[in-house]
Amino acid sequence: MTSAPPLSAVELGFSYPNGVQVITGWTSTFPAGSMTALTGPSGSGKSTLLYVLGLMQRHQTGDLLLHGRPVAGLSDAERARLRAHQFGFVFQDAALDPTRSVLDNVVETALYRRQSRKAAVSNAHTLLERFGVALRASHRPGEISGGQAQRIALCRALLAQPRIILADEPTGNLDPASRDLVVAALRKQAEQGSCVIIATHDPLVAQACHRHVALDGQQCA
Amino acid sequence: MRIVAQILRESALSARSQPVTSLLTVVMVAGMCVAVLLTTGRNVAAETAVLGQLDAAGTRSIVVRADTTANITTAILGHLDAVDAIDEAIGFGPVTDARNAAISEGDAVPVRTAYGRFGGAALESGARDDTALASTAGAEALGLVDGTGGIITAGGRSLTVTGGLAVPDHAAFLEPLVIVPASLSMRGGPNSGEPLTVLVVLVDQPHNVSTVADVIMGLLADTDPSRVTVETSGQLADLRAAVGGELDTYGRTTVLGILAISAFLVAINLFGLVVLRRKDFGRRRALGATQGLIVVLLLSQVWLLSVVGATLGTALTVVMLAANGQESPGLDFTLAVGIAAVLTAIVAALAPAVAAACRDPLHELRVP
Repeated sequence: MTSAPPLSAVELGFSYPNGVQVITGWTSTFPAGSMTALTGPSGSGKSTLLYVLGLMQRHQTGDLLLHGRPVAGLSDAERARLRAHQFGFVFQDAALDPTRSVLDNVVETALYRRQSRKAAVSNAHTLLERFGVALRASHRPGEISGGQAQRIALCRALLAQPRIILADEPTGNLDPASRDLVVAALRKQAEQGSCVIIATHDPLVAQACHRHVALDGQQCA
Repeated sequence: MRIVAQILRESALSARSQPVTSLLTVVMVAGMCVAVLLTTGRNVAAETAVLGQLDAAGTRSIVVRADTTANITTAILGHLDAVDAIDEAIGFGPVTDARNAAISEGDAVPVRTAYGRFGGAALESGARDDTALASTAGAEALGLVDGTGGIITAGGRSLTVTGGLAVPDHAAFLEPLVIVPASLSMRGGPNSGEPLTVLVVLVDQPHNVSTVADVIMGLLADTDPSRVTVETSGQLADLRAAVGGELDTYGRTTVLGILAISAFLVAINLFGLVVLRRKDFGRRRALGATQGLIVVLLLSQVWLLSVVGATLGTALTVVMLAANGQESPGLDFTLAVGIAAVLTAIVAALAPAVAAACRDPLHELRVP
């Protein structure tokens, strides 16, 4: 018997409140241990799809299954708790809190998971060390480079060892060296059993992925 | 418990990381306390002083005067003991003139036997039945140098004034006062039928004066009305109620006005924070913070800041009032203002907190 994939979409449909249909009848499965690239031109719905898969937006039609269980009927609070426990997110501009230290940024999600801060800080130091930014732990995001910020965002995403990692253009603002480091880290996470989905324009990033899903034009189909 | 500590820690860190908004919130709450305490607080102090003066004028007293044939006796004190609304009642027997035993041509001062409670204490008989107490005015009128000494009544009875007597405001009309205290235990005993010519009753609250007066009138129902007069402080009590009501209404309106304006300013300030940091709230939502947690985080942040503001505001006002020699509105009122300021700030923060909790991660985090 095979276990259900971490994430799968069946005939998924999503449109914005203004009526613009972005996703129509989209079906795909994201197995554990895979790294999938979502590619397509701007406006094709990559980011929107990522936010729907990450339970930040509610799809209107079809089914989205998390470990085989539909999420459509979950309350907002239940979806938030799932995001905190099951997902790791990496955003295009790192989305760090500029007023807090790097360490505070990395351990931010511990509060949402009701995890002990002490344990989270210990894990955070290990991750910061692994990604070569341990010396920046007490710095503010404004005092570090874009590449370092993205690595710190990666540390935040990996803090709870999530089953699913969603990355929206994670290398969009990075130099090649930083890009390679981020991609390698995501690939390693996939090899350790996580399901990694990356929305990207970068063909090099797409090549590094196990799977490649192209979204065309105005709709992803 | 751990989650509460984490929330408070996160709130404190958030407050520290937003110094301008935090400072504005502290200043607004402190200003709220200062404004209320300097306006209404001073009103409360003035109201307390005015009502105190009215009370001193006897807003709570009832005086019954009777001639010796009216047949009012110490038995009435037993009945009045059962009335909860009475703080104290004292009866005075018929008057006898007395003079200083050492000064044959001295002034005559009325001496009364007194029964009941006087100035908050029960009267007790002296060790001997020739013991008397004199007020300052009574001792001066008798020419008692140190307030003690022998006196002699018109009937030739010798008494010894053994000490002073503090006369409360509601019995001041009896000055100069010299009494022969009779023990309460005499009531209901063999002497329960001792005649009274003056009965002074102190009621607990001004608004109870008319009710207690009715009770007394009921007890005197069998007495010839031409031999008894009952004086109440009903008009003074009415005046007290009117003055107190006016001052209360003015104070309440002022407090509500200040709280409403402050709440508006706090809410505007926090809405500004939510707009400026909408990306922060969107990120929190995306990373797994529930809407409830975001509301709690913002409210606890405001709670921490408003406690600081209320503490500073009340402390500053109390120091200012003390430095200017003005009367403080009192600890209870000051504490109530501080608590009201904190609650007002929290209520004002509700709408901005809900707005923060509803930020859409997709809208806030996507880079155009």
